[in-house]
Amino acid sequence: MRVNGAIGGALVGLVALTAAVSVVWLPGSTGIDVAAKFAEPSPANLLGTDQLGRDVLSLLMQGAQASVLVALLSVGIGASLGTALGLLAAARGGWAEEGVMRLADLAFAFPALLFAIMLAAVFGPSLSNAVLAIAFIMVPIFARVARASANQIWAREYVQAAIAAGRSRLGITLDHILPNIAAVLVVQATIEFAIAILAEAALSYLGLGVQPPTPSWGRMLAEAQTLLYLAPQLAIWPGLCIVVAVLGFNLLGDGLRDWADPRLRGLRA
Amino acid sequence: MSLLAVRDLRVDFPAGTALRGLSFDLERGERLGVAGESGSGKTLAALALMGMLPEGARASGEILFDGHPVSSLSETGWTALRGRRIAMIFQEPMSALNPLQQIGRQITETILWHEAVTRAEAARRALALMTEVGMPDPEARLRMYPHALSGGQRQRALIAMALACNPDLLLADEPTTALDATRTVQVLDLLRKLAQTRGMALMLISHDLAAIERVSERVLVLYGGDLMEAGPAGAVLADPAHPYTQGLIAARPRPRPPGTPRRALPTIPGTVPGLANLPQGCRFYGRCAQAVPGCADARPALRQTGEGRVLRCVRALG
Amino acid sequence: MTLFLLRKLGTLAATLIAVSVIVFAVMNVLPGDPALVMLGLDSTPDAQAALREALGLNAPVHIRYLDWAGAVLQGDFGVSYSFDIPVGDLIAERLPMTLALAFMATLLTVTTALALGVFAAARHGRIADWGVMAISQLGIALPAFWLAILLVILFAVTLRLLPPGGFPGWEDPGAALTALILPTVSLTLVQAAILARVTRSSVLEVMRLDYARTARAKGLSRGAILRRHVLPNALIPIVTIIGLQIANLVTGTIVIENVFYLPGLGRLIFQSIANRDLPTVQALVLFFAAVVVVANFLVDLAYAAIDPRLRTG
Repeated sequence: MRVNGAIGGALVGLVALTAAVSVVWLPGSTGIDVAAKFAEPSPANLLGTDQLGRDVLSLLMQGAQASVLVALLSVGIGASLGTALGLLAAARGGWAEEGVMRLADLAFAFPALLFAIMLAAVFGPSLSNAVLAIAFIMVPIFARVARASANQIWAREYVQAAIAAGRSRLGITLDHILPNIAAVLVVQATIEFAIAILAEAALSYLGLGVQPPTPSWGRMLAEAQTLLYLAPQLAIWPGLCIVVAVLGFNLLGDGLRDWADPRLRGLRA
Repeated sequence: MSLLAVRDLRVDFPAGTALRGLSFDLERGERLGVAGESGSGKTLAALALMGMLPEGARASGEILFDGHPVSSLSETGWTALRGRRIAMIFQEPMSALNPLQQIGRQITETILWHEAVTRAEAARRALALMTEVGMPDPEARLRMYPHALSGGQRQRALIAMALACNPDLLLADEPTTALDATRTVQVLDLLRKLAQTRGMALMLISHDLAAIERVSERVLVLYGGDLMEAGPAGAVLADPAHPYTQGLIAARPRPRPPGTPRRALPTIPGTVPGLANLPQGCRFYGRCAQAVPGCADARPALRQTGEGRVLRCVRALG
Repeated sequence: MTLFLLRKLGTLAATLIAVSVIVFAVMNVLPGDPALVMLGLDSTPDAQAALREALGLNAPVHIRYLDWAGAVLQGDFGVSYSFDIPVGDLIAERLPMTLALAFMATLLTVTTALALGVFAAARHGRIADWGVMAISQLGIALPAFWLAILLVILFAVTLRLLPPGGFPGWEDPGAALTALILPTVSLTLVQAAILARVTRSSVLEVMRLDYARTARAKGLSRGAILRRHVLPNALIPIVTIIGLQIANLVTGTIVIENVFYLPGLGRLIFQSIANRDLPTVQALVLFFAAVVVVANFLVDLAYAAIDPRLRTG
């Protein structure tokens, strides 16, 4: 288990590093050069070139930017909004809690793809719509996790003592509840990162996410799919990148969960 | 020939020896009590008789059931004995019943599994069993799910399940831990009566000497995986020879006569050590008030002290 | 039991209404003027006014919602702007394809996952168990559409055993089913990997419980214990995950139809987005969301069918 977490951490580090490095440096040219199309792997183009003569490795590295950016934004929005709602539900109880939970139930009827489809139909496809759609499915997940964990903390004696001492619910939430559920939220966020990366890839593949000419793994796959008989290798690399990133976050999330909650260690698969 | 003959039954775990060569006989229709604290190996002995030792346990020695050696049976061989000739009931009646099945179905399952009878015949027998174990309104209870029954009723249902195929031997492992005092007495009396009327051998495993006294003719006292003392239940409990048995009896809760002052319950000092830390000589060394240095070195031999009584102690006179 | 059913039906109705409100709001209120979205910014004001009139956009929003919801209840989903035929007819025409795909994928997912999960649990701690777990960890990280592309490269491009995409129509059922093999497998594998993990841990957990020991004490064989006592109890968490996966399978069909160029509802949705055909998109999104909601309702009923404790109250 500990080994898995370390592998996950390494993979996540690799993806993050690649995305950061690609902002300032790329190993090859991403300019269109039709004369150089479909080049074999060589020292100049380690993974060869695509149908427009662009360096595949450089495109993949830039693709990491889109993945990391969309995941950061959508998980960030979803986690803050969802956590706020969950904390509110736990702090207020009663109809507020009931209302938040029913809304969370309802949101599960809209998978990210359906939400993205609606936004794309109304506003046209764009990166920000993809972020919004993915954030939308994150909100109920974080709301539920935050509420469930917060309720456990609210039941503790020192929190009851703080209530008796007349502290406000907001004060208690900020001082006692949030710090205590932070670990759970971080674990959840790590796992949701994996889901966000998968969702971004799918939306971009379908043309609902990252728009040309910005490179993204999902869009590279969509383009490569039209060239399967000519250059099947172009459809391999972007997929591998997605798997590495998703696997990394999943393993890291598992590792963090075991670390944060020793009682669960070894119980799960 | 005895119904059951256990010879030098030994159970080892990677951490240590949990049962240290246990030998005893059980006659047909005999009611035997096995006493000891948790960790004494009493449950392990019962599980060995069912061929249900936990994973990682290595057993040696011999178990003869009805004259046949069973210790080397395969899992398939055991399935022919379990539930049909040897049955067992466990401590937690709630969790021991499948929550998704009606009580009746759980009883008939054993009958239909082991015997070639029709469903109707099995259902008729289930009803008779429920009546026999004293279930109120048995016909309606057969169609109920476990969650709708009280604790005492669940334990009765489990006993009915265990009796389904008229076993020769019933193993009851702490059958009353989950019950209150009144239900405890009722279930114990039921077990004794069932053994008597059916001519069924009964092995009652309990930490509670009062329960054993109420049900059993003979008693084995186990500590740390070793047999410390055995003999007729009445004689052993009236005149315990082993310091451990004496401690168990002293630690037993007794009704306080009106007017007498409240006293702290005497306990045996210390706790049962873990498997890896059990003393190599007498297992009770370390908690025993009468121990001498020699007790730590060699396992005392089991010696005859009276009519049907044996004792494993170098100090006690017996 | 009746009370339980009535309560669940009430929740179902309320959820469906709420879903329809959300779909209507996003598609009609959020954009401001749907007519402008459909015609584009370079359209003439006259054309916009005409379309507004045709779509009934001049009425107040709540009246428009009630009109739309009332029509939907009578099976009238409006008229497709791009195809100029009732959206209901479009759906009816494309539904069989999507339904067949979703049904086969669900069936294959549940059967493979249960088989693999139980197999791994029975071989707990051995190589087979480890192998199933490793493969499923990988499966969880795979995007279904990439798996689909890999399968096309292997079975269509390299081995030339199966078609890379397209659909020959239902006239030749053999060819139709052949065309659906790769889409079904791509939809299945990822979901099955997740479900197999859940099945394995659930079975392992129940095997440790007291009633599994009781069943063993009854003399039942390993197989009988597993079938009669362990699996039914293990099903409860498995059904929960199946409920969550239905949403994934529904959106999965939308993606996979686009990977394999299959003329189902998923393709239709994307054509409609490209055509700015808002009434069709709105009807299809409502349809898919309703499928998810109804499926979850059925999962709730399945719980009650499995567990007698839930039937009361």
